[in-house]
Amino acid sequence: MTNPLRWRHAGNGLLLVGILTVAGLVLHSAPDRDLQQSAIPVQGALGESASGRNIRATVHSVAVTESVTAGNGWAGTTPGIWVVADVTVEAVVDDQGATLGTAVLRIGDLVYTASTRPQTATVAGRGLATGIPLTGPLMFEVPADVVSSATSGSSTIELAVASDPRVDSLLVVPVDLAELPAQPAIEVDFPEWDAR
Amino acid sequence: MGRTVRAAGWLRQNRWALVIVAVLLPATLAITFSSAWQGYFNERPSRPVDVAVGETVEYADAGWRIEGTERFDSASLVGTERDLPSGTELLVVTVAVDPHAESEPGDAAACTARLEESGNAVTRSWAAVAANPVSLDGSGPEQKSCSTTATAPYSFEAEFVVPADAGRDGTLTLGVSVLAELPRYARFALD
Amino acid sequence: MTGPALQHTPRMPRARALFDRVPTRWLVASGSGILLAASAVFGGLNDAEPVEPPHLEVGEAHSGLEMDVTVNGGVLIDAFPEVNLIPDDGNRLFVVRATVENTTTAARRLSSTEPDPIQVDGVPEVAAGQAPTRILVIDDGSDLVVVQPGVPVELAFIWEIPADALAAGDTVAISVLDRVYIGEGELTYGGLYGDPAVSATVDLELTDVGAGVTE
Repeated sequence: MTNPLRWRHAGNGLLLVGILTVAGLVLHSAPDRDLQQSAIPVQGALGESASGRNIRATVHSVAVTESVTAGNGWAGTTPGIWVVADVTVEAVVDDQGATLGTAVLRIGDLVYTASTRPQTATVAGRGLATGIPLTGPLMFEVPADVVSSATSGSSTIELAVASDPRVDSLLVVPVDLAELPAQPAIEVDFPEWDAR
Repeated sequence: MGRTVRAAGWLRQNRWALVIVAVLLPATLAITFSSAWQGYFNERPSRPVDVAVGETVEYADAGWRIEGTERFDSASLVGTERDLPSGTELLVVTVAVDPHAESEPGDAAACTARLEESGNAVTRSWAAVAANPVSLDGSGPEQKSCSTTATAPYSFEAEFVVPADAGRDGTLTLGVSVLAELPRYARFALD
Repeated sequence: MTGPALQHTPRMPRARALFDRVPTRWLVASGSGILLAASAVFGGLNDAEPVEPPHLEVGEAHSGLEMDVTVNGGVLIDAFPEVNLIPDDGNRLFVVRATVENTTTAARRLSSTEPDPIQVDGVPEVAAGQAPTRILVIDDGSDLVVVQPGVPVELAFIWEIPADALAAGDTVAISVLDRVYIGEGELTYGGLYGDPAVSATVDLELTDVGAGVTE
């Protein structure tokens, strides 16, 4: 082959390798389906109000107790321990299909959903009204050894409008379960609407 | 070996093909996406027919007009009767409906009424009390929504539980939508 | 165009020359024959023996990939009026009590529409694999059963059966099913568990509590 032709072929080869490398990098770093559909987290703090697209909530306090009595008289037992959170939640924009569908306590890898055993005495699963806050308890059944484990210091409570929190706001409130003493029994109030 | 074609010559030789691609490519994308886009918006009330205060609108084979609007706060007589949560108000809109004589009893369609507050940073909307999670005592007005059987003119009262600051910074409108007429819906200005 | 025919030079070993002369189909056939003969060591073409699921006693725990299930007992009862579960006239309720513990990392929901960890066999009028009428938490009778990871909960699996289908002392075969994690849901949110397979069996002797409501 003549010299200039050889250089052209080498140049084409390098260009091809370059294009393939760039394509590989793009494919590797493109967001996969999980990332494309993930929930949009909104960081909150205990006692402060956090606002997402259609949900605004405040987690006022969290307690760890062996038995809890709800506002409607329900007093369920559990072989584990109860983590009870007092929350105020409202819909911001639209009440069509707005319920507290996701109320989750995440301790490390483990995901606990708020118990619906108290029926209407808990805020979990209740419908939300636009601009009118609902204040009530959320109760989580958790094994006792998980609450006293090392990872419970960095647990989070996550709240969202639908039971499928993808592609919508997810309020994330960090709580420190390790520093809460285990109380023998507490009583919680029935959920109440209050827009003052 | 062939002669390399210079850039300017290639562009000139293929200019018409490039022009056609430049027109067809965006057109194809637009047509492909528009059907999904329109399908989504055609299923929900998205094209309002605005009605000023006191006017009558022809919608879904009937004439609609707002007769009056009333607001009761939680401390008033009505508020305590219905057990309104504190900080909320009960908004009652009376709508007069004149079904046209052609429709037979049972032909009229059911309607959905929603209250909307626009003009603020976020647009808020509320469903009527029957569909709202806030439950009130008492039974409220007899006719809460459109009647599917009436042939003579009648009126219904749509009730909404709203926070006390609703409408303070924005304008409240009542949207009435009938399934068969979507995406058009009647939007009434409330005074 | 073909090149010059392969020349066997004196330096090529004899074995190689011989190998080149053997037709390819003889090589393929003899290779397959050797593999089949080797498979005879492992059972050859016989049917594989189906593995029998282990047989458990009442009260014995069974660990599964999705849930640990312990069957505690079975009763026949008229009705559960306190949770509004009253069968039609002429029917009674057949209840299997089991303690279920979730061994995955996320809460799982049990409902009559999803394959259950417990199935009954040999009950007249109940098709094999038919879902229970209701699943209730025994502690407070609640209907929406969500099993949290690591928290065992005693459940009642209830089937509605004709009153004369079963009597006290009858034995019913219970199958405990286990499911494996298939992947993350695409249309639904959360992990998907599927492929239910019978992983244990229990023979349950029934008692009749009439209309007793001590559960």
